Amino acid sequence: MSAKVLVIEPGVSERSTMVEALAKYEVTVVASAGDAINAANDANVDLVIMELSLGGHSGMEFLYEFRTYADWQKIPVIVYSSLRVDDAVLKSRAWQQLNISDYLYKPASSLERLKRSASKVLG
Amino acid sequence: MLGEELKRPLVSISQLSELGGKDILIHTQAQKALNTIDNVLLYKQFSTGQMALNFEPVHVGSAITEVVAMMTPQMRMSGCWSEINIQSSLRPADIDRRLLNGALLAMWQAVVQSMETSTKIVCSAQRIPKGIRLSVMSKGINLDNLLLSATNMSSTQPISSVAGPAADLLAASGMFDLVGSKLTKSRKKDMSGFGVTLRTSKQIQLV
Repeated sequence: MSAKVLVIEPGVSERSTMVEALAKYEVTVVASAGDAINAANDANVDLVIMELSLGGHSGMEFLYEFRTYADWQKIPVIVYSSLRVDDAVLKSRAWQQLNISDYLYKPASSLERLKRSASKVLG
Repeated sequence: MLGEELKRPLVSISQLSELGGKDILIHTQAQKALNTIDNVLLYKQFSTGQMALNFEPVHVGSAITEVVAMMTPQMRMSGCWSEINIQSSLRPADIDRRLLNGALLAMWQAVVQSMETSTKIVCSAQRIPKGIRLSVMSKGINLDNLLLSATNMSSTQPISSVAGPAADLLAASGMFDLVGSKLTKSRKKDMSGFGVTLRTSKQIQLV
C-alpha cells in the first residue's frame, strides 16, 4: 500500500506538478491551512508537504496548530516553500520544536529533490 | 511584496520545465508573472505622477472584453470560464483608459488566483444612480482568504512576509483609489467578489 501524502499548496499549477512528481504516493491536495486540518483528520496521512506562504492563515499557524494534536506530533512534515527561511530560524529552538523533517527552498529545489526528500522521510 | 508574489509563477515555470511537455502552462505562468509586474508598476507610475491621468469617456464593455481575452488562458488553466453581463445602452465611464484596463486586469487576476473550485467568473457592468457598477464575482472564490492576504501584505508586521496572492488586488484597489472610486466586496446570491462604482461621463462619445 502506498504512503499517504498531504500536500498544502495554494498555487494551482504547482499543485498539479507536485501531484505528478509524487505519483507513486496517494496524494491529497489542499490549498489552505483550514482545509489542511480537515484533510489531515480525514486522510490519516503519513507525510505532510507544505508551502508556508498560504492565502489567509499562514503555514506557520497551521504548523503550530498541527503539532498541538497528540496524534499528529510525530507525522513528518517537509516544508517546500518559496519563502526563504533564515539559517538562524532553522536552527532556532522554536523551529526545532515544530519537528520539521526537511526544509526545501522552492526556487532552489527541483521536484527531483522533493521526491528524494519524501522518499527518505518515508523510508 | 512583488518579489514574494512573483516567485510563485516563476517557480511554477521552473517545475513545469522540469516535467517537460508543458509549453502552454509555462506560457500562462510567465504571462501571470508579467501581468502582476505590469499591474503593480502601472499603479506605481500613476500614484507617483510618472504617468498623468487622462480622463476621457471609456466604454466599460470594451475594457472588459479586452481583459477577458487576456485572462482566458489563465482561466482555462484553473478550469474556469467567464460570463459577461453588460447592461444595454450603458453610458461611458469618465476614467483613464489605461488605468481602467490595468485595474480591471489586476482585479480579475486576483479573483482567478483565489478560485478554489472550477466554475464561472461573472463580470457585470450595470447602471446605478451613482454611475456604473462594475463587478467581478464567482461562487468559487475564497474571498476571506484573499482579503486576509491583502491585509497581511499591506501591514508592516512581520506576518506580511507570509501573505498569499494579493498584490494584484492591492494594485487594483490603489488604482481605483486614484480616480476617486473604492474597490469593495461585492456579493450577489451565492457569488462573491469585488466591485467598484465608476463615474459616468457627461460627454457624448464621438468614436
